[in-house]
Amino acid sequence: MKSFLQQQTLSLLLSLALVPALLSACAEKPDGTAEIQSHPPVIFPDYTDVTVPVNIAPLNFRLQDPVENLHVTVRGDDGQTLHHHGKQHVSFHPKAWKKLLKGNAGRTLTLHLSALRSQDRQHIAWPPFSIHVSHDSIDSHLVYRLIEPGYEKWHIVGIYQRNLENFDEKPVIRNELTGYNCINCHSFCNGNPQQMLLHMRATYGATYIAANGQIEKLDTRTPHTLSHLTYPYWHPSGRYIAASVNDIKQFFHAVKEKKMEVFDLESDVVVYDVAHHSILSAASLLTKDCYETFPAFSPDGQWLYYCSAPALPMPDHYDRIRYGIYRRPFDAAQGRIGTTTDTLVRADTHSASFPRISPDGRFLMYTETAYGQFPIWHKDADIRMINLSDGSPTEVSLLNSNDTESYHSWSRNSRWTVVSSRRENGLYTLPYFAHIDSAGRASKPFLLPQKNPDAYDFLLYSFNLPELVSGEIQLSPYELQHAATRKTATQVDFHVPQPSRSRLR
Amino acid sequence: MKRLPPYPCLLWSLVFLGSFLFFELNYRYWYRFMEQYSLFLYRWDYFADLCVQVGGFNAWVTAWVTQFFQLPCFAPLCLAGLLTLPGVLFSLLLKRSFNESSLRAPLLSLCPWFLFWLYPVESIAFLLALTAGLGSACLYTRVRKAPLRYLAGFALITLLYPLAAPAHLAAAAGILLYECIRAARGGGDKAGLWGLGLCLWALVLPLAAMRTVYVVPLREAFLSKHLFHPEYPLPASLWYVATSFLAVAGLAYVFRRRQARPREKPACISLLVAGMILGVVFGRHPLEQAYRYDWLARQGAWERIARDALEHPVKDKDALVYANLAHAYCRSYNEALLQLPQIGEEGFIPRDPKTRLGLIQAAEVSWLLNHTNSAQRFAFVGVLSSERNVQPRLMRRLIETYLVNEEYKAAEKYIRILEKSALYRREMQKLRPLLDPETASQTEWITQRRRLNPTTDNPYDPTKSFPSALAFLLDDHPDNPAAFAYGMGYLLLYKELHAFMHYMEERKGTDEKLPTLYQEAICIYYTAVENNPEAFRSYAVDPDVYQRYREYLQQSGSLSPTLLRRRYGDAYYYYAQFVPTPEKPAS
Repeated sequence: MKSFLQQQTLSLLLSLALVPALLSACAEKPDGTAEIQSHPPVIFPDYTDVTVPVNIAPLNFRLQDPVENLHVTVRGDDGQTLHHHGKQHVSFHPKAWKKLLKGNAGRTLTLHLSALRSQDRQHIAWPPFSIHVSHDSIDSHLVYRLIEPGYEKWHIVGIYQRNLENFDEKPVIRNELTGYNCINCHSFCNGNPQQMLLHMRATYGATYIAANGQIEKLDTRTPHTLSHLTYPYWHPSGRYIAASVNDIKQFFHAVKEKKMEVFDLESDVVVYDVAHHSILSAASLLTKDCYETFPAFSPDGQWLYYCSAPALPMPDHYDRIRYGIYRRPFDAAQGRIGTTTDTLVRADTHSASFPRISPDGRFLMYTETAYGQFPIWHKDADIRMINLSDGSPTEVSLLNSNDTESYHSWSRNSRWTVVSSRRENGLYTLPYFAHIDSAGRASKPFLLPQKNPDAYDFLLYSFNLPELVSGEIQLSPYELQHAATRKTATQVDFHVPQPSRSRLR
Repeated sequence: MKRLPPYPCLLWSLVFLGSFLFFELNYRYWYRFMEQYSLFLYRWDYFADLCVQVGGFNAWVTAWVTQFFQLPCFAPLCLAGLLTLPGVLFSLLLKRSFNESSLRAPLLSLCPWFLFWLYPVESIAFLLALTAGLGSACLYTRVRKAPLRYLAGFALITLLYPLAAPAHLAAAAGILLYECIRAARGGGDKAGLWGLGLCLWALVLPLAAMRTVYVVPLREAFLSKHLFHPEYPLPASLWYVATSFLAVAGLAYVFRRRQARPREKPACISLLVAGMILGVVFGRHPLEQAYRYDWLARQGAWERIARDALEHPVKDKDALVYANLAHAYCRSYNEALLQLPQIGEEGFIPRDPKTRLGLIQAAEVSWLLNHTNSAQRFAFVGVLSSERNVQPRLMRRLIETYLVNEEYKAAEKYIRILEKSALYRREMQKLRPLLDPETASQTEWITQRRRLNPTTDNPYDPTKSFPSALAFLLDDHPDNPAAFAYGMGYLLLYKELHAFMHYMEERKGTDEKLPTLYQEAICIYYTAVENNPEAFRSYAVDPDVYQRYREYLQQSGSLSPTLLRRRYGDAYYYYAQFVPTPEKPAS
């Protein structure tokens, strides 16, 4: 009995001693005889040669080739290294990643990958690739709506905020809380997460403005305007919100090259005075001979940018309508727009939408497509940018792909942009980030990192309207739910200025 | 544990058998239809994603079980088991509460389960939650020592809530029942209070979780979103079932001391058997035929639908859509057109569909007509009509449409998802090679569909502007067989002979053999519309067809309506002259 016990103890000790050896054998990195591949590793998301902000979450990825015993070494220019052993999926420890980025701000990370090929168990290695770490940090949070890239039906919709420095995602509001209605068009004043606007349609339909911890519920439809406020943009002062009012329609194509078309039968741009709950006619563009839409204020608040196209009978001319980008001076003190119109993007051969001015006021980014103003179903839609000082185009071709690029927003420091793109599968819109240098050149964009990149494979939602904000939205989803379900909407009025007495005389 | 006496065993065996027969004979296809709205993925993340939701583990188990509903007899067996097991548990709970063997407790405890015959549940999540709740309550009653029992009750309720809500409410109700009856029987002064306390905890728990762990509406915090479609109001049957349990408990209390009379057992069993026979015979699902056809369509058994529709009466609009579709698929449409109880446009394709079945049908009809974009659109919206955003059958259709439209990346996305399911993995293995453009272009069904894909853009939605959409399809590809059959069927049904003859123009002077129905329409057109009876000779009209038409013209004035119908009721000229034209849907 005793000898049996001794035997068992000995074998146990031997086993324990062997465990580290076995483990190290499993994680053994390929030796110098590895077969070097001629091409860089194919990884998802594609993080090869991208520029990333110093505060971004770990860029976890997946090697697309079937391999075993993958060994990844990340070498920073500062000498720091990070190792990963595993199968096809590579995930970095958040603390080590953060330290690595901090130490390499303004420098480059080089990633060396080697593995055991599954088919023939041959050791292989790939040429290293780089990730450039920019000094410029990105706004800490991204706010987006998750929605099925549907045709005419929405199902479960939610607006979420994602901390870009880690993988935390929290709901701002989900339509499960508000009777499965449609929630859309979240918009922030200067990227301030505590000053926001969103719309709800169908049940509890209204516009909700949250500021200073209070939520206002507004009925923005007036007898003088076409519809509720639709596509909004805050004035930097927070006093005004420019918005389009649209009579939106859609139809479906029969040919394979096109899916659906969204167009306006009519549209105008109005300016809403937050303090007085009124739409200012003196600051609005209410014309019958033109369709105006997608307004945006300049960062100094002195200009109102918008898209406009000559009115054409719709839907007959849906593929002939082309929008240009224009601006008019805006007097914030008087709540008036000027009469002079500057043309920034002429609608000659293409149509422009979503004008967004960088917070430093230097660049205008917009989406260009062959026709119309709703480019999400247009495969040709691309991002373009001009330098506002001279109107010259800047080099942003790296932002574009063979598929749709549409909505975009800027970070507060004007060094990062987030672009909605369908490049991954042509159907689901995902957010890509890109660095914009001081000359307005865009770097290769990278996909929003996820803890497990497989999440994108099984995600059945599009990231709609990605907006960068400078912090976390403190408003609880239940506060929004309470405002929607319990509050009565304040009716917005349409303010026509009275003629002054002197003029009457 | 004492063995159950034979009497309850007999009762529950009967319930199991009766339930199996009821669901197998009446709801087999409905449950197979419902199976499509669940997709179990063999992935850790799928499990983790569900488990972080209220009652998510229950949803995971539900999805795992539901995937086998496609197998013969599985759904009825599962339903029968899930009605019997919690029934036995409830009976056991009543027995433990009264601490005596009562004749009526098992009999009474049967009653709530028959409500599930009257109101069959779409998802077994509710039955699983009830089983978990009642099982936990039974487990609770096994703990003899009072403080330990209350602690166990607290732990069970707390654990059940995240795993299988509203199982915690069922457990709390069971515990309350047990403790109250014990208190009433003098089993402990504070027992009832403890039961009440645990019940209150079960009610407070969701509210606390809403503020700390979950961001969900009140309804989902209590009941989870997995029991019923979260976008629809709660079904009234939920309250009937809940009330029936309370009523049964009350009745069991009232009758607890009464002894069984002689012959009461056989009378009860006879009553039970008679009730079940009635249920099995008359409890048929009102859309049984439509769901049966849907199942056959899903299997690709179009010939069986076509045959069945001719052999048995087509009972509803949804079944008619499948019957028409099946005949168009089998190229027997022209022969079957007038044999089916046509109702007009809505018999061809559902109008502006919103229901789950309607969206599937719209996708199927569009696919058959080679209107790929519409098939894709309805498949997509059909997927969204699922409460979980998944509908594997329509996701498969999406893959096919993406392959036809050369959208390989989108096709790959759905292939990747379905590869993680047990039942679709093999199909996906067949489809994956088609992601290679060259392989796809050499695959017959893809090339055939690409050839017939619309080339002229138009905004017509086949479910809203059926004739216009069809006209574009035919103008692009007159050789599109299904579109042609549907188009001519539509025109003949609405007696639009001018338009019909426009499409026949190409057949003029050829030897192409035309379907009898077309020949009859050509005969009547030249006689009644053009007043040129001999002009039919430009077409390959069979002499027998013409001869029969002449006889019809001679006899139509002299024969009685009944006889005329008996002799010529299958001919188009009879239809054109005597059968009212269906109304066109308002645009």
